Amino acid sequence: MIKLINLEIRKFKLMNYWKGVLGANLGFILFISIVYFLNKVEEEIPFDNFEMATTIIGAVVSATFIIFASVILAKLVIDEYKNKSIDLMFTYPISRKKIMTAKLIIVIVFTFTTVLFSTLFLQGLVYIMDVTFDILPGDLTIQDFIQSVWKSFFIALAAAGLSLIPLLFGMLRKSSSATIVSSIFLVTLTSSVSNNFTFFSVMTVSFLLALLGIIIGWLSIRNVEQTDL
Amino acid sequence: MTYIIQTNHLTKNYAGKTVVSNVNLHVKKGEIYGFLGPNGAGKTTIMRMIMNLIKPTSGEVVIFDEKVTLSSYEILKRMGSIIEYPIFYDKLTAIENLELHCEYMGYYNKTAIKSALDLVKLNDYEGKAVKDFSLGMKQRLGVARAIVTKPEILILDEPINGLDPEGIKEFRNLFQVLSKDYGMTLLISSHILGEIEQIANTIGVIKNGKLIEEVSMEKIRLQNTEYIELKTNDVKKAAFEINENLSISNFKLLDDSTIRIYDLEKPPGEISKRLVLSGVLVESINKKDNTLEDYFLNMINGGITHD
Repeated sequence: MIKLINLEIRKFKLMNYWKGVLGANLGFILFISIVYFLNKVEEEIPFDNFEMATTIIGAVVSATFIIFASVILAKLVIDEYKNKSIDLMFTYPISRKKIMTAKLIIVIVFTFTTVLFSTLFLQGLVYIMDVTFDILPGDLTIQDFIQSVWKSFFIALAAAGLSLIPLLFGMLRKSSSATIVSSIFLVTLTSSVSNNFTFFSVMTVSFLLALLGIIIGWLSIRNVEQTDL
Repeated sequence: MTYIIQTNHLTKNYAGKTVVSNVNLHVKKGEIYGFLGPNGAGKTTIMRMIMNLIKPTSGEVVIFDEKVTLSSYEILKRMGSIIEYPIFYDKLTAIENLELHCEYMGYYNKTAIKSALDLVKLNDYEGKAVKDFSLGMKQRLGVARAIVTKPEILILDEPINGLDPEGIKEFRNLFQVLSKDYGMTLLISSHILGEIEQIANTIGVIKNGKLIEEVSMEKIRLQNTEYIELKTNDVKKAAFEINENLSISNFKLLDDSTIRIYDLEKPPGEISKRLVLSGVLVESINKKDNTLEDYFLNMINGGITHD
């Protein structure tokens, strides 16, 4: 399986995406700074507390990387069907299920790691900024930070599951644009929910959707042998 | 094993329409099997079923004495193919495509890639991205990819598409080499008889999803020898002249104005001269040498069915 994953990465030159991930993170820093300074100028409090800051970071980061993941998903799965290069893949002495699993693992692992590390990175940045420049009202303890680490973990987990939902829409018409557009809808839906609710209720919705994503992934692996090309 | 690839009552329906109907294909080990039929006759569908890309509605495919099932992955290691048209990862170079192919096939031989590119004369282009390749070059690269792992069975769907006459000739030689020197069994489809008849040992003719004939080339050649056809007003006298004065005995009276001469030692000119000199009026005299094409055209258009 590791070998199949490596071959997919080589085939689509996925390692080139590190630039995109890096760029996204720079964008996040810019975004948070702008929000912070604009509010400062208007003499409002930008972030009520650390928890609010981490929630915003979590939402923005997972939205970005779910869309990012849909681009990879389109490339790895949908385009292979559209270009018929999947015909070639299925003439190899390798179980179709394994080929499909390898592809989906890449998408899941990509989403999970990028969301986890980006949120951790940004939260860490906010934490350090607060410790040095006291940008947030109130005192911030190391406990708050540790709690936010846990939160990041769950956000990343949910995002990883969610990233498979666009597969359903993409495969219907073998269209990569449908894949990407559906992922944009998905993140709009989930982030609009997250405005007025607690972290817990947002996460419940996200985890239910993530479960749906896992089921979609599992079904497409299960059916890949029966389906004619 | 008698047959390396065999299909038994192979049938495929698409949306209620029968595309392939009750096909019994028999490919012998080591031979070149030419799969002949007009476009849309079902050649590609059958080849896709042999490669296990699609499942038969009924019937079965047997390869290496083993029935092909949903999970027959191991036999694919021993097969190479081009189905429909060769597909590549366009942004990768020729050599990267072949390297990936070898990795997936589980075949590790560094020199094999070079020699496969050599065989199809593409070694000058190995570092070029496939998206810049012409159709003919892609076809060559497709064949290189199919043969790089030295498979026992080679399935080639219209491999000559997009090649120039020079390339067609090269491929014809290459297929002979693969069959004779490497002992590969080749299943080659085409809608052009000329491509197939020169290299195939056996020909399967398919029309409207049905295999209407499966016959060895040797047998066809024996059945369809060349002859001279002669039309005259007086067959009896002509026959006498041909037999006595031209000393040809291998001929046949077709009807009361036509004679067929199977002995081709005497040229038509000489025959007609002899007949005219002896007072027989020769209305026409023709040498028939495109009989093989007629044979297949008759079969495809006339539809002699064998089921």
